[in-house]
Amino acid sequence: MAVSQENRTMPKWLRTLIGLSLLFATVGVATWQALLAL
Amino acid sequence: MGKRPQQSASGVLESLAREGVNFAVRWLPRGVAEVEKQAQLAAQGLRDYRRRRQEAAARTPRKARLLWLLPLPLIPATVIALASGQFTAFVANGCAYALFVAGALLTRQGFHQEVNQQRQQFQTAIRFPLKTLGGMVIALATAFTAWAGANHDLPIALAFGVGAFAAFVLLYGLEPRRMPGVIDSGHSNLERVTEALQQAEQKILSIEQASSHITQPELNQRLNRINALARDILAEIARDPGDLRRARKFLNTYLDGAQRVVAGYVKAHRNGQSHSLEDSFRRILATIEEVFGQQYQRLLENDLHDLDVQMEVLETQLKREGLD
Repeated sequence: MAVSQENRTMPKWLRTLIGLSLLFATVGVATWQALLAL
Repeated sequence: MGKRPQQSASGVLESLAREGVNFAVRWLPRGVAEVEKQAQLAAQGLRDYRRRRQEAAARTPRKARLLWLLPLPLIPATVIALASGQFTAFVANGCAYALFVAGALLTRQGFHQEVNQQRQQFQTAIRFPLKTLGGMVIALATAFTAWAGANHDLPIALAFGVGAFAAFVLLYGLEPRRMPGVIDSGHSNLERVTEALQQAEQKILSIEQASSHITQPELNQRLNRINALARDILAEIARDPGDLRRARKFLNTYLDGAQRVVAGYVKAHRNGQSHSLEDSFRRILATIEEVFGQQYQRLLENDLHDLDVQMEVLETQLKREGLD
């Protein structure tokens, strides 16, 4: 039986906010830098 | 002379009233039961609809689109590197983009697997953690892009990768832990119960799969209700493995029969020969639903009976051994 992931300590909105920021700061930045480095 | 018609009129009125009362007594409870049944069916339909919506949303979460969108600058980067004759940058950007696509594909498969897993509560087969693997590939792709594409030092590139993995975990999570489907309540044949439940679940899954080919909404709704009832029965057995003995006929005969009938009807439906069978199919589905409902009620009542016995035993014990 799959366990729900709702019972985490960090609120969902905060988790999403940090996750989005980190994703843009890493994947987004790295790919744009790869484009601009040419 | 004038009294007799008056008496007969009052007698008629009285008998009419009596008949009316009898009629109401006979039919009102049935009417109320029918209304209640319809309300329950409507609520069940609404629950099914919500569940399907949630499943569809879980299969393709909107935030997962970012995994396809964010690496897009690598496409022009690859083209520009090729056009300007920078072979190393061309290969690096091309490989990085391919890694991002592989990671996004794995993650998508992971989401699908997660939804299917929620419907397969009793299957113990070990599945490959596709979503976790997708996250690792995305992290590797990010680190590789930062190192080979953006010319960062290796430690910085690794930091990019770690950051991407952390973002992935926060946004999409990893594979959920699996809990044992059957509660171990000291039942001697836990393995046998688990095996029986797994087989029964497979039958339900094949009914669900077959019913997705049936286009008539009425039959579909009925099949959905049957599947939901069958799942409720399995959950009840898992909660109290002692129920297995009482539900043996359901697991071995009825569920099997239902699976065969539905599969046969779907086959006839595909060949365009289902019109003559439709009425019989509708009738058998109604019967199956009724029998499954009765089976579920019987298991619930049995729980109540067990509780009642336990309370009586405790009461007797307390009276006998309790403090004066």
